Amino acid sequence: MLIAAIVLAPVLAAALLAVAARSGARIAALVAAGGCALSAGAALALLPSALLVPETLTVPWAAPLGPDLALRADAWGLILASLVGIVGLCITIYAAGYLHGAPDLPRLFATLLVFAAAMQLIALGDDPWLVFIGWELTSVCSYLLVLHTRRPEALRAATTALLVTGLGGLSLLGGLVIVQQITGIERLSELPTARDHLLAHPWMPAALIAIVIGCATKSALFPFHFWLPGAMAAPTPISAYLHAATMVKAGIFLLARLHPAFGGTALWEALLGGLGALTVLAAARRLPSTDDLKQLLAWSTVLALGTLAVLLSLDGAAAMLAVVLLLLAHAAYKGTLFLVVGAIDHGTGTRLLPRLGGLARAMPWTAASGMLGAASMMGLPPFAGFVAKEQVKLAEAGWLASSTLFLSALALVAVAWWVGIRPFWHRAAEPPLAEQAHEGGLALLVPTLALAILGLLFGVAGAWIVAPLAARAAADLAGSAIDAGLPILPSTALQAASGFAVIACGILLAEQRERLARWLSLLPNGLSARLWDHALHAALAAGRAVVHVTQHGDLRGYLGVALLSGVALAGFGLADIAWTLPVSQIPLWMWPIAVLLVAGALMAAAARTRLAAIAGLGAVGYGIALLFVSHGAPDLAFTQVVVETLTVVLFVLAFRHLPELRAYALLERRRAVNAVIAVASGAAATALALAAETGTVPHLGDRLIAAAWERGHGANAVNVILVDIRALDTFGEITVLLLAAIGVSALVTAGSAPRPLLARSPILSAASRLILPLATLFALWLWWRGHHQPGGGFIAGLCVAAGVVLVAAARGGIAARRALLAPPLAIAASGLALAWLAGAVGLIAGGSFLFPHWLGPFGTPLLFDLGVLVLVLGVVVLTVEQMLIAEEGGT
Amino acid sequence: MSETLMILAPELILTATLLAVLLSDAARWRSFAYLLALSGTLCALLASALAPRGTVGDQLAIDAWAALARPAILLSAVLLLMAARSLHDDDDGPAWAALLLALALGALVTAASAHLLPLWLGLELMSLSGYALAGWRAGSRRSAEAGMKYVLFGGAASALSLYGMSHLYGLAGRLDFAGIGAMLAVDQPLPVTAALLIASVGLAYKLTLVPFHYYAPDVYQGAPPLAVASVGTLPKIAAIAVLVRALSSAVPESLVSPASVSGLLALLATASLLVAALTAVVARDAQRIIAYSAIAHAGSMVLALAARPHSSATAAAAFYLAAYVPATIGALLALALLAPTAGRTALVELAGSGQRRPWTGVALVVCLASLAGLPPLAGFLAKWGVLRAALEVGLGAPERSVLLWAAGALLLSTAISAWAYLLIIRAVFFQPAPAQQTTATPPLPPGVAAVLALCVAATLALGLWLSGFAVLLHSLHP
Repeated sequence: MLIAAIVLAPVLAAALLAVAARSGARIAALVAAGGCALSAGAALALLPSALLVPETLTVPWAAPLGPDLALRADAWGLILASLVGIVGLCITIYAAGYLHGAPDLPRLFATLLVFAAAMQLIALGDDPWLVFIGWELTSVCSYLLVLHTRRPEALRAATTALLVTGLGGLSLLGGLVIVQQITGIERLSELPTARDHLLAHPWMPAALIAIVIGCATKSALFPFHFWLPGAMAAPTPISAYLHAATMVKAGIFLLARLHPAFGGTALWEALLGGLGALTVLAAARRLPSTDDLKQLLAWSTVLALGTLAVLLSLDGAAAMLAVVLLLLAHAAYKGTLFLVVGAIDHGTGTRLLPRLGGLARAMPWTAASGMLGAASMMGLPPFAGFVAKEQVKLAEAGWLASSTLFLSALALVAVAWWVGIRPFWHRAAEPPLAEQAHEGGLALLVPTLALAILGLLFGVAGAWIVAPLAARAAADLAGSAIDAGLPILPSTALQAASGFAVIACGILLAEQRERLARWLSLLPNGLSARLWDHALHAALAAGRAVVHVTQHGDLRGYLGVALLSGVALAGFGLADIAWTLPVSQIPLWMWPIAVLLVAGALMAAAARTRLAAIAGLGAVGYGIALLFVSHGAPDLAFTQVVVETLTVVLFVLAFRHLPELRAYALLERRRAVNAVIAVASGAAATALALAAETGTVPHLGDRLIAAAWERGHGANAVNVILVDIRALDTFGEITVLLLAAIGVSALVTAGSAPRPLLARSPILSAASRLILPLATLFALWLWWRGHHQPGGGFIAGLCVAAGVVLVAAARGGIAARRALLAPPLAIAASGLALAWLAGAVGLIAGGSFLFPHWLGPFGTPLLFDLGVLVLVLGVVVLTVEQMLIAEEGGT
Repeated sequence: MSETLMILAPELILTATLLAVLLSDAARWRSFAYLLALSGTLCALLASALAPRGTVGDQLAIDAWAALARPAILLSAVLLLMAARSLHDDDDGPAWAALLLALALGALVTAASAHLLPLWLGLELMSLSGYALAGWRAGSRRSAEAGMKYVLFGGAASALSLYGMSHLYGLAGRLDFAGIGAMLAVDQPLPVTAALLIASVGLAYKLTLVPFHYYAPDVYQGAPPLAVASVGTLPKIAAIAVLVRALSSAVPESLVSPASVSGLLALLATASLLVAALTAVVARDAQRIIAYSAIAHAGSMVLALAARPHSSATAAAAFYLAAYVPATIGALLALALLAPTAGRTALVELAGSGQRRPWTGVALVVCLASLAGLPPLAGFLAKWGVLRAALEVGLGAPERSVLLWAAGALLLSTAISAWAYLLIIRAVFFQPAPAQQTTATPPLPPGVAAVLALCVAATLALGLWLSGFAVLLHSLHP
């Protein structure tokens, strides 16, 4: 259960802080420190077991697909977990002093705790998805922590960091999923067992590259290293924790975990060795020209990470042991130096190297810490840095790796000199600054010194405490055992001499800072950051281009693309179908109808006024009605004619609200595009119809007429299908119709006052009084005969509605409304209710909703049809109401 | 009889509620409209949880998908009604509630349809109520333009779809999916592929798949937030449910090989994912970004369906919906509350609004983070399920290697769109508010707060309670 405590302790502390959000900064710091301390304690308590059998914990979470809550506390994981806990403890205490008085400290600490828990997931997670969850959480927490001060430069830096690591995280996810698919293994610790299968798979390189990209973004390896110096906009304790001790190590940590599975392959060596060397070069290039101490530390962290990557690219247990030791030593001395820089910033108000000097007198404790940290960083015995450096020398490296490691050793010495020694012991550049400097209080001093002494302890106690653990971790990572003896002091004079020689060279170089900077400025600089900016701009430009070309807001363009897509779909389906043009089979009487249709369409397309366009469309509609007649569907023809008429009337009514149709001076090209779209759509429809004709078409008509007689006892197949056989569909359809009308009346709000259509005619006015009752009678007749003969509720409803519209045209909308006796919405709704009633009767009497039930000539289908009639009337009037009323200046 | 009644109880209850709400308008009982609508929808929700599975004729099929989709649709409708009741005045009541009920009814019918007629009916019911909802703010030119664009584009898509369906009927002689599938498997009339493709345009449009997505950004930007939340979620649940059914029953393998169906879907998904992500980052309006997010998420869901032979692919799509719906509703609602001027969600206008309503801002961040696919929220697990299914199928079968590219597109699109979500978060939290805003912030209406809390809770719970995935998988593949 200790293993769960490592992860849960920070989470619980964060929850406590979230609940007690109003607590003071001091209590919040205590709670946060407690969370970290518990986590660290649990990790330390587990250390002995890691040497024997690692403790594991598996809680099924989303079986059978994974992820599971699988934790495994092996030596490598516990090393990182202890670091996260111990450094976290120092950092929270330091932050309480450093950020004293800053806003929202409880929130900062809560985020810090969530971050720590996420890091523990990375350290201990055995399920790759769990590791990924921790991975992404650390990116997000990092964003929030960097942004805590809300400084503008922090905003930009935090966004860049989040984008880079976020992109890398997804790449990592892709790589892990591919690995999982190749091997079928759901545990990181079992991955080495599938090594042969994995390496033989053709997708292995893709997976490895994706994973390395992910880890490179997190660990600031070339070419993604540029985000780390930017992230220094964060408060210093945050930088010390995230950007030196823990988060940036996550990539290296995970790569080391994968070393047993991928290590030794050419691709692995080339990728890590190459990226590591380039990272070291890129960082070394920037070091001498950087004045800001914090930036200097950031670049030296990049350098260290590159060094770790180079070591990882090597094979053998010695190299792995060097990785483990360097990671530990780096966390301790880099954390110390960050805190020292924070104290300098706090005590003097600046972090610029040229301005600092002579601080040892005013800040003795900080100077001591700086000296301890610098000594470890340089590799002086008996510090942790020395132990790590000696182990690095033992790694079997080729000439490229060796020279990179040498360069890195020199650069580390120089940075240690600049950060840990020079500000305190160098002659004061600005004496007043040195005199006014002051120590920052116990909260700043104790954690700094604690971390510095930790670096010393790692070295001194290395042989007894750290060594077996590190050896075990290295053996796990390398797949072969290694001797655990670690030196505290140089064993031979030659070893000591070479070590001191490197340190001396480094200090000499450090003293030539300006000259070095001048020489190095000849080398290219900031390439990858520029490349990243270009990539971002390219993405933005591509987005703008897509928006400009496709999402321009012009509806005609949208419709054109949609129509052409439809044409393309039809073309795709029709590609390998031959159809014939059966000209000879077309009966003679069909030709005039065809000519009418084509002429109507052309007229609509070429029209200069709306009225002409509508007349053209009307001609098409009536032509279709003629087609229906010629195919023996008088019902359809009848309906088509009435609908067409009503549509034309509606159009005309609506037009009075619109300005004159302008003859837009369309570009020739635009016209051509329109013509292409129109012709293509027509051609596709024609081809589809002809292709359908050539195929074997089942004769639906006969079957439907027979069914109408058998099942619905009606001769009018259309009507019987509508109100009886498929009454449920019709019921749905009339519901839709009602909704449509409500929608139209909501959408149509008359803006300007309409232009008068025609002078009120007294004859029309008188006629309309007569016509409405007549239309109603006629409609009832249509409804009644609908079961056997052409007619039915729908067409009947349209007839009454036409009468109402006529009244409106003759005597005005208010008169029309008065003639109706009820609001149109109520009429329409009661129509729906009638249809519902018919269904309910069927349910009670016949056993199912809308089951037809007849009493002599009266039956529920008739009632249903009456409902349709009433609803259609209400719907039409509801639709035109807005326009009619607006005409009279509103009611 | 009673069995049909039991099966269709949610739809029947909802229809009766719709009627009652409409009549309450006529009877001038406007203040009761929401109460009526809410209680009716809750009853329907209860009924949908209890209703047995089965078929109603050859038209509606309450199969595993419909049995999941119906409660999901009704639950979302309840949330949307609760939010609308708090955000709209009583005068709007009956009409807004009726339109929302009609939208939900259309979604129910579509989700359960196993037949072209109810399918078209459902689609139209959703479209028509959607048009009216989008054009709701009568005074606003933006809203009116949104409504108009929606109508015209939707009309064109519906017409294309209906045209394809009528050809399909003519060619197969059947309207039910199973019948069409059976007829086409035996006897393959020539242009049937074309007819099938054209008929599916309506679904592609409802799902906002590229290239039938054009209306979405303009409509989402101009429409009232609750309208966007409604038309962005309910139709998607329904369209995915019916798409799964149609793919498995109406498209026989002898007509189109499963590999080419999956290739076509993967192609649509890739286009949607990439186009949406690229255009989202240049958008400068929060609701517009949500629109692009809707397009990209539709792409992910369709990608899940493209990996359909994989046993967990449909479960991945279902889970994706379960993650997408609460996050979208929550995000839009939070935006509506944060916007200093109602209905204006340009990023500039949102600057610093998180300080006015910190908790609403937190809810927004949770919902957006889930949409961006961040662990441990629901959106991550959803993306992960899709990715895993796509990669497994793509690696397993060489003829489906297009799925690998689509999976790459999913990752790339996720990364780019995270940037777009970040733009919103940055504006709300990390940019200073304009100085002149000193007016007091009205208290959060309890109904809205409850809906927001529910959405956030669902987003967290689905991310942390991972067995939800397994439950879905089990109910889809018992």
